[in-house]
Amino acid sequence: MNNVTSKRIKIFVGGFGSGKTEIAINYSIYCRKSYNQVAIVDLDIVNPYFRTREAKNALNLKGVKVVAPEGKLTYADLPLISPEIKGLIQNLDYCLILDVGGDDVGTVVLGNFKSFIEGSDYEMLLVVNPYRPFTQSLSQIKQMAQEIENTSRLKISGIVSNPNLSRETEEKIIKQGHILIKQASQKLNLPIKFICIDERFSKKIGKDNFVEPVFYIKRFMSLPWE
Amino acid sequence: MGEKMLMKGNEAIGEAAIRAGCRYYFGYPITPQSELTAYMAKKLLKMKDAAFVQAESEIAAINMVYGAASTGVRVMTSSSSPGISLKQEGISYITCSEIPCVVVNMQRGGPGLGDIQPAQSDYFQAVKGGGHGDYHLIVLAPSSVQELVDLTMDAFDLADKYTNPAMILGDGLLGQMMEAVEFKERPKVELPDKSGWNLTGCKGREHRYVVSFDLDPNILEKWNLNINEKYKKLKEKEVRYEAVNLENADLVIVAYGTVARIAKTTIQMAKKEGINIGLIRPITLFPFPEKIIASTAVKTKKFLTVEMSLGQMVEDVKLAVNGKAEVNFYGRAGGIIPSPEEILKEAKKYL
Repeated sequence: MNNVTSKRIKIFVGGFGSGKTEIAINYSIYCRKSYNQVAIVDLDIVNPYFRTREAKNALNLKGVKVVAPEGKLTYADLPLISPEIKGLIQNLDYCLILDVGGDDVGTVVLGNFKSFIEGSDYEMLLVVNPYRPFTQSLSQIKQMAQEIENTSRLKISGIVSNPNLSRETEEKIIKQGHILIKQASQKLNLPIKFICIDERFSKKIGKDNFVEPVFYIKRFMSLPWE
Repeated sequence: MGEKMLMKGNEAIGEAAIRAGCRYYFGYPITPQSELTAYMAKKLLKMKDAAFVQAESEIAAINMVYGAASTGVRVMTSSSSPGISLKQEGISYITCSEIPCVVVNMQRGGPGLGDIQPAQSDYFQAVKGGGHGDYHLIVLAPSSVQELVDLTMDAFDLADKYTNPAMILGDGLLGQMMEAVEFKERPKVELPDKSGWNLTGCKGREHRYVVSFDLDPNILEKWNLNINEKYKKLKEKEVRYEAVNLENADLVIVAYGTVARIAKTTIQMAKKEGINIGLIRPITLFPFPEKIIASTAVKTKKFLTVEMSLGQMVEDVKLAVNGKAEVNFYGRAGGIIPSPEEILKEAKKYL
């Protein structure tokens, strides 16, 4: 995973429900190994539940700064953008993770920061779960990528492969799903930065199963009966 | 990709509706159900002989549903609590007109504008009529994303069968959470022919009316009685519930939807402590599973109804128990979800 932390700013974009938030949370914790100061920005203006802000305490304990609407506004579904974000984009001491809302509509917010991001050391990664509606075929994935680029006015630099069926994921599901992502990577001429696998498979599915780096992730968003 | 998909509850309802033959959707966005409106827009706008309209208001949307339903097509609208309140007049008209449609309510905290967190405080509105007049909706209460799929498909069949609106009563959590779902082949069901009443343009035949109005009280009373006959039939034939661990239960929890799922974890926790808790989960809220509750009340003397409201379904549980057992209540309001531990602690109070 050495190549993975090379850029100071990582922007996770992708389809609605593609897994951006869980990946961004895990990734910010991972980045703490290489950076003293890591901040994660919850830029989700479209989702009302299961947002980065819900993992705030866990992230703070790991030394990750969380930028998200606070107090009463924690529970709002309003397009609230903290003035702190622009400062963090320009602060070279910070490794910055941007967790952006889903689809092109969720990406609108990035346009606001375009001029600041463009001049920075950044990469924008497209998270794809081929088991989600609207990213189940090559043409759909291509369309998603184009719509996100058009709306954000930034270029996608790589793909994060995230094939899963949540709690019903099996080894076969991961491997089969990843095949489509590989095809998408070729078609879109974008490298696969890493493949995400739930940590419960870490023994069963070793890193040697894939050419690409493997990133085992822990689930932070849980349901009330779990 | 393969058979299974990972879907948000709201998207799953949309896909299920389309697969059930629904080609008409009229709605107005509201959190936490907007993904359903968005899904229908994305899909229906690309389909032939289909229509999606984001109406100017919920009132307009339900009246568009009324119009479409009059022609006999499968049609749906959806909203969340405050939006569903706005639709009540139209729902009452549609029910009186005896035409089918599906209405989805992904409940949020109330009353008033409330908040955007999940709740179950629209139970009374859903099962007791909701609008004016003597009527009921067929009310289905799913508790997983898969069940949102299956019950949405069933809702269209039931609405057609009884020429009465059917409601999916979910909540924001069910709408927002993601689970793997499968769209299985469904057995063919015999459904009544709509060609005797639907509006198709009369073209030479005698003209028809779809109305909810008669000035003659004698006729209107008969009309009411006819509608009421359907509710009797529903109570006889369509009651659905899930019963868990009722044998030798020290206490039986009655809960639906999200809360029932939490209660299942409570039951597992109780087992580890040597406490035997059962669960009755109504799947149809109207018709309500009275018989299983009544027969359980003979064996188990303690009930605990748990809701994300301050006590609504508990009234129907009491009516079904009819004084034969003790009926207790625990509820959270305003969008707070009770934890499995919290429910266990409450259950222990009565043991």
